[in-house]
Amino acid sequence: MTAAGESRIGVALLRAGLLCVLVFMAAPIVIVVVNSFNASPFNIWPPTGLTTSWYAKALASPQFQRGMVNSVIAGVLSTALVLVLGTPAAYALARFHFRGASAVRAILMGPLVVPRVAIGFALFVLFIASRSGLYGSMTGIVLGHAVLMLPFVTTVLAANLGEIDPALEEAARDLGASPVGAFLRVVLPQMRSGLIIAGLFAFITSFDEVETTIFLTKPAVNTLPIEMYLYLDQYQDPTIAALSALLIGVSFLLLGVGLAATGRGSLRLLLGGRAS
Amino acid sequence: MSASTNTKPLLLLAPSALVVMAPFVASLVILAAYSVDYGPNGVGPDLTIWRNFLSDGYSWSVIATSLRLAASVTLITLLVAYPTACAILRIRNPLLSAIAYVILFSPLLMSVVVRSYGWLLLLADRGFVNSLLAASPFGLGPYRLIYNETGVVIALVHILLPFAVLPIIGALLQIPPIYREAAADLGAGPAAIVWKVTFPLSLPGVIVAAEIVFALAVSAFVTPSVLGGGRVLVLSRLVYENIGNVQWGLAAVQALILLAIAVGALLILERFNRSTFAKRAG
Amino acid sequence: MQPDVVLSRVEKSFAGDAVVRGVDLAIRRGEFFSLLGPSGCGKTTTLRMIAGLEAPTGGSISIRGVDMAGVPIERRPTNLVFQKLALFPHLDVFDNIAFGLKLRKTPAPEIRRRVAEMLDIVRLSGFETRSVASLSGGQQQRVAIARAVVNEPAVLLLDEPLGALDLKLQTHLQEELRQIQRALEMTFVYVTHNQAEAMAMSDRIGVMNAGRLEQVGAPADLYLRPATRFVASFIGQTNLIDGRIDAIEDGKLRIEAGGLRFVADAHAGATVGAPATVSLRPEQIRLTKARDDGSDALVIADATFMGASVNYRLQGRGLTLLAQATGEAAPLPVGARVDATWLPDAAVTVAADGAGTAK
Repeated sequence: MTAAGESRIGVALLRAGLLCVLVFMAAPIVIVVVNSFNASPFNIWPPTGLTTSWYAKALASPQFQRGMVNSVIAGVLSTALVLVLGTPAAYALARFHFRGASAVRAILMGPLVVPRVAIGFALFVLFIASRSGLYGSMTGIVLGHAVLMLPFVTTVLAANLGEIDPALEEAARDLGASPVGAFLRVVLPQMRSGLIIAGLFAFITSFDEVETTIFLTKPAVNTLPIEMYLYLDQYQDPTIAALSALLIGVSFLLLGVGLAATGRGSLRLLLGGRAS
Repeated sequence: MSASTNTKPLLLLAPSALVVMAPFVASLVILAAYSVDYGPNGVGPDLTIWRNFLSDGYSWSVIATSLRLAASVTLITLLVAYPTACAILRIRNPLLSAIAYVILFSPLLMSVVVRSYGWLLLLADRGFVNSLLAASPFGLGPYRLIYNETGVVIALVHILLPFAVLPIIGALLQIPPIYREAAADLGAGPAAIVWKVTFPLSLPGVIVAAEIVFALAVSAFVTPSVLGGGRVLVLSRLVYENIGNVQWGLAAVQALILLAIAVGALLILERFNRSTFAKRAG
Repeated sequence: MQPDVVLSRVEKSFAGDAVVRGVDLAIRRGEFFSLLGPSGCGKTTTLRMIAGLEAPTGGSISIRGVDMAGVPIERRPTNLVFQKLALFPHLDVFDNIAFGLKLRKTPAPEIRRRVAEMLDIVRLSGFETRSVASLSGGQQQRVAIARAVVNEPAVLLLDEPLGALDLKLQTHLQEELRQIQRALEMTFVYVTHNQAEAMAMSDRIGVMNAGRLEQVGAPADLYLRPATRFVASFIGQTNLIDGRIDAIEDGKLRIEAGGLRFVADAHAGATVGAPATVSLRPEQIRLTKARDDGSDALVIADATFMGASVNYRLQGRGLTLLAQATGEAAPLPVGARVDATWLPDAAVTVAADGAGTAK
């Protein structure tokens, strides 16, 4: 950004505006953390006193415990599934020009456009109509999450692959590697940051998912956000704030791990993935 | 490595197609079948459900609410996102820049339920915002900010803002600084540079942002439910309720209308995108 | 001796566009062979077909007597040094060089020995654990060569590997490459668009243009006896003069163009009165001040002082000629009227492009 003609007032306004936006973005998260210590069960501001009892209540809740376990299982399985499926798909899109490529791309991107509620309902009907027993099962939820995440994962991985010189594979082949060997020895090690970002976002998407999941789940396999949503429908005491504060902590931990593992490449990949 | 045959790429795409895309496509087909009451227990195909839904004034008011909500959220989000993207790219201090990026984008990591709940706390009748307004010298309020469209719009703008800023930053980064320098050299002032050079060149990014935000806003479910408290009725909410009521045909019709709105908006924006490109080329 | 690489009638087209058209070529064992031509002439595609990265759309390629049709890249007795090097960024110098040996399940002690040997040859001993990104352009170049050579391929293929380096380093590495090739007695096939580079290193050069092999020969042959207009003008500077065959005597052609007379070796099918093109190198032309009455003498239109020589542009008789004068003679002034002379056998006739005699 060179300073080719900028007015001082304009820059000052821009800075003040950015500050307001950042306060706006942080506000609901800060309030959740503060309110998790609020002694008032009716979310009254300012807090009537400080307590940690909501944390105890949230951690002791059997629904939330089960939801947490289910969410981790669903997140790990669907992330693994979608990375295993998405990598070859991204490779096909990034490395080959073939007839029907644009049609394949359009179908792959479909779940980004179709409202999640519609996807959830459609999958629900499919699971019931096919008598597959997928409705209300963990497999069904994992499959549903994979449908939602595939477009994003494929886009990020294809952008990642686009940055890796195809000559490296040719060099590996020339030195005696088979096509699969060349991919595993030369391409995969360089997809690290792409895989981490795609995997992290896939996991977060799965961990956060309500709109599709709510149609596919039964109480035994309810994920954590579903349990939280159902809880909010009935109660609004700070139990949910305490749980949310814990989840916020975990999110920042994941963010730190992700940034440390991928470095500066992460934002560029995200930008590349989104903008294309 | 450009293969002349189609077999290799198709083989690589096959696993995704089988496991993920086939159920996706199949479920959309089944959805369409249900909407015309065609199925194992149905009598169709006929258009009774469609006719009933579309001739009901109540349905149209829900569609109107969904569209109004999505349109206002998209507009406000873009108006906030564009200057935000410009401002964040201008920060030269790397530490401040990193902090701004984290504050702006870390909410993406947090559950929509958590974020909606945060807004419920902020905007409640006796919540933070109203207590702040009451404590102000003017002693304003209290205002009703939840269980109506205002609260839903505020929370959705918060949730969707990162999705809008990201493609706009991407578009701005792709504009070589030399264009702005050339415009300044030719005598354009700061305002003229923004309006005549930067903005038109970043328009594709703005349109991508609009596509993403509108698609997510029109189909949002959690936020309208939590902050609308059952009083803001949108299509996605109706779909959910009708499944509970075992009105699957009706739910299918509503889901398909939602889909049509999302795809329709995307096509309109894409057309707009292409026409601006064509103008520039011609 | 049996040639190492034989191309016969090799064709390649991409989506209907012919890039390589009927190339016949035999590369001898142990020679440094260069494929020389402008960008887009098909030289890199030819190299990639030998390596197995592209399949010919016609003709056949054999290496050491074995037909390569259907033999995948990884099983060919060739290794390639890539234009952009393609060093593996996630591996250090040792692992880059050992890559091929490990795939061949070479025992670890032998890998260590051969990599160390290779590093010694390319003068990079002690760099084993360095990351390739931390090396200079010239060092990366040597790693790329070592990574290919360590596998002891029958034929080493090099795709303009020195193109990205500055001139001084280029010259230095040219010498090194030549030394490595002599020491290993390995067949090198080197692709370049730089005629000086090809002339400096090669035993023989194949000149390509528009997908065709125009001429194959030793550097001096190509310079002194170019077969086509293209070869004559691509290798060094020359004057191409279109004229007519006046007479054929004792196996020599007498050619007249714009009042100038040339003598050249006769070629098959030459007939009196037929058009012919001669190539005359600028440095073969000797200039003397014209006699006073030389009404149709040449005029010096332009003179450029080059240090060791002076380049002149001459005009007159409907022709423009380039001449190069070396030595102690004082430069002639622009506008001077001069007579141009050359030795009887200085000129050669050249054929039209694509009609080369290369086999």
